[in-house]
Amino acid sequence: MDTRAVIRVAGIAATIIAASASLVNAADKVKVVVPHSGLWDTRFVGYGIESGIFKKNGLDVSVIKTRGGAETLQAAITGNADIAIATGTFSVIAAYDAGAPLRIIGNEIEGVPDINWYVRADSKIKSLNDMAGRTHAYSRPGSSSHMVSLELAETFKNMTGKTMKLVSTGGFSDTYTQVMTGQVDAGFTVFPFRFDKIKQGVIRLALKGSDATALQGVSVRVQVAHAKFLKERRPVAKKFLKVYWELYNWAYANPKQSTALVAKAWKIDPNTIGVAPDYIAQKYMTPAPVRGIDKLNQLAVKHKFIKKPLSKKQLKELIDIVYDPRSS
Amino acid sequence: MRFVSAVHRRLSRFVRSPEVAGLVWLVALLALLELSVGMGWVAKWVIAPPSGIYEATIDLFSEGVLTDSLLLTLGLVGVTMSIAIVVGITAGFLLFRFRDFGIAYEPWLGALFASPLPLAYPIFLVLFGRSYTTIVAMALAYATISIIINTREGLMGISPVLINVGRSFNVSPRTMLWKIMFPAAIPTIFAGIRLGLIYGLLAIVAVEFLTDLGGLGRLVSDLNFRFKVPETYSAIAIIVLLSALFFLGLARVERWLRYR
Repeated sequence: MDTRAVIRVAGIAATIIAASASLVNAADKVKVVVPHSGLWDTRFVGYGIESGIFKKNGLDVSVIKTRGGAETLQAAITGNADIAIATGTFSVIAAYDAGAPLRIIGNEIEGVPDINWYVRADSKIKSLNDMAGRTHAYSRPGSSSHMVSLELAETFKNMTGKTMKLVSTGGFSDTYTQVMTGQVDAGFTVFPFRFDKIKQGVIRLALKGSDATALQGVSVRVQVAHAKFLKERRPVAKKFLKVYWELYNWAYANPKQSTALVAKAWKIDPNTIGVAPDYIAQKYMTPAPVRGIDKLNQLAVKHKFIKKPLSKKQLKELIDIVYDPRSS
Repeated sequence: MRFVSAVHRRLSRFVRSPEVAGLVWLVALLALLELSVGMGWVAKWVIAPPSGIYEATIDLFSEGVLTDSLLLTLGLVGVTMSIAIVVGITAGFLLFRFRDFGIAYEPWLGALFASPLPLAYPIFLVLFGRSYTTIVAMALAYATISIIINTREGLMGISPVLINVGRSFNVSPRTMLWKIMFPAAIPTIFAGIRLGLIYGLLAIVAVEFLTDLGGLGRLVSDLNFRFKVPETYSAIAIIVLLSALFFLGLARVERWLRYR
């Protein structure tokens, strides 16, 4: 074999080795929509990217941030993202009913242990009973804060015969500004947003999301994937959720460290606000099952998200759990 | 026979008119949309078929949702335009009368008119509170500026011959203003009012959409976030129709005023 031939063979071999190495090392790309990034239940996708944990598990995760509700789903429906996390179940049901190619791939949170409403310290509102004619904020229609608001408004009406006004105010920071400038009476919060201001007495918690009794024990927020992504790359979806929930296991096992991480996103001193598990117990945040779907289906009709309930067949297609640590 | 051919001539002229051609193309486009969605070429959660939009419109009207929103938006447009016309024409006249002010401020007004003012809605919310005043204030910023600019331009563009004729008849300044200057400037002032109305309507709908305060803008936002696709298109179609009706209506009023 002459020198030229040896060089040619060596070149081809090097190219093949380089190509196979890149194939072996190539991480699976996943685009994830994260609503209200930086809260206890939305911070850890970002942390998984920053710390390289996703990468170590062969995932190349990129994030699209939204302000909740249908805004989150729209990114997934249009194919701009593969997975949408922490999405209000009403909007998922409404989108599916409209023909959107979405599947619920897991539970995110059960009941409403995390959303509460605050008022200015000088406000006369002490509890739900004082909300007659007052404005009550939620992020976007279809979001979990909207679902809870609708139920709270109904509870309030049943209790007093009076109404409170629900207002969509967008993101957490936008809402805080509107509360502090007197445009809205009650704004929503999830740990740790403005918990430092609560400790300082600038604002105080007045309404509890857990008062929305109809939503107790049901999956208020779920994880969603585009149907095509799920069909073509199901193992990737499973791998993503596995790492996602491992991050939460770590967060709950290391409450001080994880709370500090979340507090840092809001420039809050973590020593002043306690630890996250005191506010949101881990038992509410589980990968599976999706609980109370029949009830949610009925509530979606009641609150005019859909005209008639989804059929059993539709529900079966809609819910496609890809990761359940109890069975895998 | 002569009658039949006359009718035929008129009919063919009508059919070949640009208005009819425009309408035919619109109907063809709607038919294509209906077919595309019906055949599954376009997903129904992206584009609603015209038949679905029609049904959704009927439903929204029968539920009273569309009527309430429409009336609210119309009311806000009415209030905005009433104030904008009075303030705009007065300010335009003053900028014409005091020439130096006109030269100093017209470019600034033009720049403000070209700016994306609806983005300033958080500031307006703080200033005016979560009320309809915020919507009117924001829409006024758009509607008034075009009227001010056009009133000044209209008055400046009056032919000197008309002014000289008035002077030769020795008319009073008031008569000069009302009988000669304003009628001569009406086409330009009306162009400003028409622009003001369209931009005012856009600003009202945009701020309704952004602030969740009510009206057609809020309705579009709410329906969109609830994934009610035909209903969303229906509300958007009503806004487009409203805009077109305003445009055509003002053109008629302008024509009527010009010949009086």
